[in-house]
Amino acid sequence: MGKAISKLFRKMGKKKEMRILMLGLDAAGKTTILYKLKLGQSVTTIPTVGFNVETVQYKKIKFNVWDVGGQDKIRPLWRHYFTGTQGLIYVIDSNDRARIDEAKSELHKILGDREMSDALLLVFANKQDLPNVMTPAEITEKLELHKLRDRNWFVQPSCATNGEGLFDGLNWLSSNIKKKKK
Amino acid sequence: MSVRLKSLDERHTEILRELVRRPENKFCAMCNERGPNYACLDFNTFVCTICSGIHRSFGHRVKSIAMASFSSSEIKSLQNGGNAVDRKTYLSKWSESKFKKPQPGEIDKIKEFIKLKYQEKRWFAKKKSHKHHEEDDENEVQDEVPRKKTSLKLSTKPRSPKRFNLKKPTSKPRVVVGDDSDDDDKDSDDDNSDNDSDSDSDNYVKKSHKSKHNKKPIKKPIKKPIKKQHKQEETKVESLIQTEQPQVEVKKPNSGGLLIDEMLSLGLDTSFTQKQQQQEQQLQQQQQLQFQQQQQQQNQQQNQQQNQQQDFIQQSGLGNNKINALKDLVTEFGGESTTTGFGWNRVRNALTGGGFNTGGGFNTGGGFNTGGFNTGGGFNTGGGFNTGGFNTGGGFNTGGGFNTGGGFNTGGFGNQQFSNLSPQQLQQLQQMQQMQQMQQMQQLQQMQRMQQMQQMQNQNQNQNQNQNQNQFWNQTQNTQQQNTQQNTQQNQFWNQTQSNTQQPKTTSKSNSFI
Repeated sequence: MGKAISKLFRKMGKKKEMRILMLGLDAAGKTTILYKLKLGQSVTTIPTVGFNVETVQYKKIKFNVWDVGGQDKIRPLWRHYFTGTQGLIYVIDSNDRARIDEAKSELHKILGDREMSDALLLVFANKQDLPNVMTPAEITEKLELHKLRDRNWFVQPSCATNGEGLFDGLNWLSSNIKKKKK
Repeated sequence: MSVRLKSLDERHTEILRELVRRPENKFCAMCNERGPNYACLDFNTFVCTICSGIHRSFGHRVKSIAMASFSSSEIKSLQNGGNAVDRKTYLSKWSESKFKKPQPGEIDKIKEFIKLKYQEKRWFAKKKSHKHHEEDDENEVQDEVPRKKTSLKLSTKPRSPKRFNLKKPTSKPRVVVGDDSDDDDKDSDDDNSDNDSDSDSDNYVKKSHKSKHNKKPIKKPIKKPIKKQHKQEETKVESLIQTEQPQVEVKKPNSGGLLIDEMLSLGLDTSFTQKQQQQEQQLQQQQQLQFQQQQQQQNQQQNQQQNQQQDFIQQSGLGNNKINALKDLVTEFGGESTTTGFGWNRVRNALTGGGFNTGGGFNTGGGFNTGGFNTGGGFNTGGGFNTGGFNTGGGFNTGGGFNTGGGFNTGGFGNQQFSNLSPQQLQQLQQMQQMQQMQQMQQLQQMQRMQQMQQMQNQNQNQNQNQNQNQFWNQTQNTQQQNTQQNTQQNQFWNQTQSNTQQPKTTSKSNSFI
């Protein structure tokens, strides 16, 4: 009896879980986003070596968010986190015009991987609180997202320090993963 | 091509390691932490991990020496820069008395220092003429909140060696040099350890762990309720021990009734109907009257047994006391819950797992928790802690197996060595008692009929006595005579003092319930 119920719950739990991989160039704000989502407060982070993983509950969906360090020599390790990823959050430093091309090439490298072919793509245009930053439209253009085929993508302006746009992004992920199942 | 690139990269890392080995770069530019692992490209300084994180929050470009590749121009400017140049540029008018250099890990102070040093350029060499003016404004400026990001591109230019040379003729450098010499002394002390980079990486790992712990204040609030529950359980045990002494002799049926209520409230025993309860209580009151005289005779034995029982409770600390504590938790904290998982809560607690939590504790595992803390994936119906599999006992189960006893299970399967008062046994005993009581009731009904016949015959002899009382007296006497086993067990349950030499084991168990 008990086992049956627990199995049932486990099944329900599986449906409501979502594995999210959060990538982006170093200092884009990935860890800050993760802990803003998790704790609701902005923390002073240190450059991530390895990864951070937290579960975030939003709208009855349990997001397992993996935040992997983005320094250039550890970027080749990203692919080891691809397996089973349902959604990719790609974080862009909207203020960093100098490295947007680098960000683009890294993104297309990720999306070219076979394991990521089914993953949703959510781009956080982060640091929107700063003046004269790139707009979401500008970032869409610079990342050449329109060229993507068979990819459900969305660019969400955000600010990790005050939390703006973060849950809107999760909302998009949750609603689009449902659509996929139907 | 790739080989060439690799060699270039290797050359860069060699240069960087050589730079970091220099005495002026051996300590973080901001906090004097040993062995900086990061380079701040905005100011061409070498900083520690924590300071690099703070630099990032200001929008400064930071690169790890080990985990980032540098361009040739970046390497060049780092070669031309370094912590000594930075010091003479941005701290030429700085002294320890003006602003104490932050110690490693003092994040707020480091933030303040970065703000003053780079954003306000308070001690910047070129602003010598404004020195007094700045000092006047010092107090006002310090209260300002640092702006999130400022374009510091402009500030990178003054770092050129030319500017550094310009600074030398000023009157101040002596003071600066003096400061540097202090640092140099420190350096010479620490020169013995040449393998800075290795030890640094270790330091770094430790630091990152620390900071991760700092980042998770969520776990902290959990600790308080744990202590609370412990305290409540303890106090319950104590209060029970204290209150039981006077009550046991006079009000046994009440204490017994409480137990049933508790069972009912906890949902441990749902098959008890109120009718049965009432009938039992009537019966037991009669029996009590009957046995009171015997009790008075056996007072000394009672006391001994009570003492034994209390010792037993103290030793076990579980069983009925645990149930009381849980019941109190249910009544006290009922309704308030913070549910982050699935399932439902009856009690104030934190449920982050996927299962049901009806106990007073925390369920972070996936299973069912009707007792205390369940961080494992299994079921915890006991009052204790379960970090492994199934825990139906009152104790701790940190192993992967089953804990059906009241004790500790840190290993594999099955822990019945300490099973003094496990709820399973409790339920089994209850079921036994229910069966026996049912049988008794049936027998009593039969006996009533028989006795009514007898009473009709013996009415004249028993005129003075109350008929009903007589009925029960006779009933109980007869049942006792005919069904000694059942009666003795019932007596055990309601009347601890009823000495039962036939079944000492069961008495000890039943005694421990009450």
